[in-house]
Amino acid sequence: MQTLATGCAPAGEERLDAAALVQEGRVHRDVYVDPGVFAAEMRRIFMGTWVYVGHDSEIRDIGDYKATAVGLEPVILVRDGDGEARVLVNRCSHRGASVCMMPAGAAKGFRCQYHGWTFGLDGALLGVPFADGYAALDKRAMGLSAAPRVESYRGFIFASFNPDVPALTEHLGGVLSYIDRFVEHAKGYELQVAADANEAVYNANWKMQLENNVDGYHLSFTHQSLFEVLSGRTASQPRYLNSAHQQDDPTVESFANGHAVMDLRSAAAHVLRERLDILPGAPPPGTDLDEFFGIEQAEELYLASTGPAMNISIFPNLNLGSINICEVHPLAVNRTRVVLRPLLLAGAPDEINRMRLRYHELGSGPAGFVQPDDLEMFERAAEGLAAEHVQWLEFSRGQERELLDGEEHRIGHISDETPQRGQYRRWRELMEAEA
Amino acid sequence: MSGSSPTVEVSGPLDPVRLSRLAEVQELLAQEAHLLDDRKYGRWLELFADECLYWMPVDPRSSDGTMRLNVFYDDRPRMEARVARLLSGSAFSEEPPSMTARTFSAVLVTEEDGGEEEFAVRSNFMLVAHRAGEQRQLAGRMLHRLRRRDGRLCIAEKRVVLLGSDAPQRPLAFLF
Repeated sequence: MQTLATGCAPAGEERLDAAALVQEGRVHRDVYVDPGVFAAEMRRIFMGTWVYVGHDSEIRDIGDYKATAVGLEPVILVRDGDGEARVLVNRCSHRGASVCMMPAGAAKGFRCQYHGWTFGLDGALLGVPFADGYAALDKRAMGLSAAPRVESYRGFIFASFNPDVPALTEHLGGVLSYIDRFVEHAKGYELQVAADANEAVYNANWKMQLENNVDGYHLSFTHQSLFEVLSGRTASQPRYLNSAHQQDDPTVESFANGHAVMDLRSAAAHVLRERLDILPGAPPPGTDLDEFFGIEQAEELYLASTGPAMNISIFPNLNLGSINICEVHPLAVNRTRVVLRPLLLAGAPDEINRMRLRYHELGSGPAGFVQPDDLEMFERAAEGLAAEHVQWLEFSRGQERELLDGEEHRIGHISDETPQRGQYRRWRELMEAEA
Repeated sequence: MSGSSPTVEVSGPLDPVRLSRLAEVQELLAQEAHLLDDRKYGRWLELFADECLYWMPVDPRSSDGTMRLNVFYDDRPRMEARVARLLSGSAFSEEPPSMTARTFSAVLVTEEDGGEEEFAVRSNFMLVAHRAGEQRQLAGRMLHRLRRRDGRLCIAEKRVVLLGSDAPQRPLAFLF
């Protein structure tokens, strides 16, 4: 069976026809399995738009750094001497060795251990051993390569290797107010990324994770065992999981540039306390919470430990959900790394942050009660998509009933594929752009 | 990894009392390994004290998971929920379940402050898991805190220090 992209695999990028691969309501299998499509995505999407690189609290002080990636480009996010966030390519400008080996830390600069070249926190080349061996080395041109654009919104830092992208706030557009609400679940405390992260790797395409974060349809099926376990010990599960479509059901939304939201607030509120009360070390029923946590109005902060009850997906690589930041790192067309970082509240009582950690562990990480089953479904999809003679994935759910608020903002029922259609409209836009 | 694990002291010859306790410990660890490989999770739970902790830190150097992120950090009710989920038939990442075979070695009683009533045991493990055509080898160390209850040893705490627990992992939904 020939593939639509090229007539032969892998696709030659110049012949890739994005409009043929992504149509309204359906997506071609090549989008998930073709290495040529993946190579084009890395250039046109990950090098073409804003990509999430980290949170302010990961690089709080001058010299703090975090090793991460923009698509397949290894980079260092670092707070430079002026307090600015910089995104440097983790590659010595001399002969290519990485200059930063640790996942995170604090540094005065970076040194390539191969031949001893040293670089400042801003990437500038500072030292070249035995420099008299060079007749005319232009040190100013030999710094570490850096992303030309780095901007942040409410602590979330994004970078772009495309100097011509619009301002970050313009790019985020309609999803800004949801990011505000996500941040404000902290009730005035500053969000602080935990010192450790849960990391997982799955053998399927990166977009599976992005689609999944704003997929309300899968919850009661993929995560059936979670709700069985919870409902055995608590009274109720979210109503939308076991009832037909109702007027006040929660919604999903898609925004310009592929961003999307799944807003569970109307459904989840009444089960949150029950989920907290079953966590290891939770205050027993009847406990005076103000006394237990050592603050006034403790119940409000305790309830906030389950997060803002909304999932946000910022195209192409950031998911916010529960109380965590989820980084989606494509490794290959059929391999993806997922990093989950729980958000704690800086300056809040330890007992509050302890409950937040326990809540995160309930679902997340490779042994959580939620994430492994999602990863399993991504891999089952990868197995199924090996079938070459079935070409299309169906994404039409709710297409006829979604509300249009202008061309770019659409609102659907919790179980509809409105967010995914928005993600693929953006995919097509970027993949069709001049490389 | 010093700091995370009890320091190993070179001790004198095993006297009959210590020898008999070591045999008892070895037998408990062997029972635990076989129960887990056989998926006899209800009987595995019976090896634990009523108040217990079963956990795996993300940071292999962490010896107190309270204020740190863990891969899992289970009190007894959470262990029971974990078992119920695994046996429910709808924990899909373990459906069909992984086949596992685990061995342990280098068993040492490392801490005897509690005397005969409570002590710590350090050992290494190798766990081979097979599922859906994929064979994985996981290794690390186990730190058991054992307590004597009605003359019988039970597990008050089990810490599993997995090599690579802070690196990207395939699902680890089965029991360690």
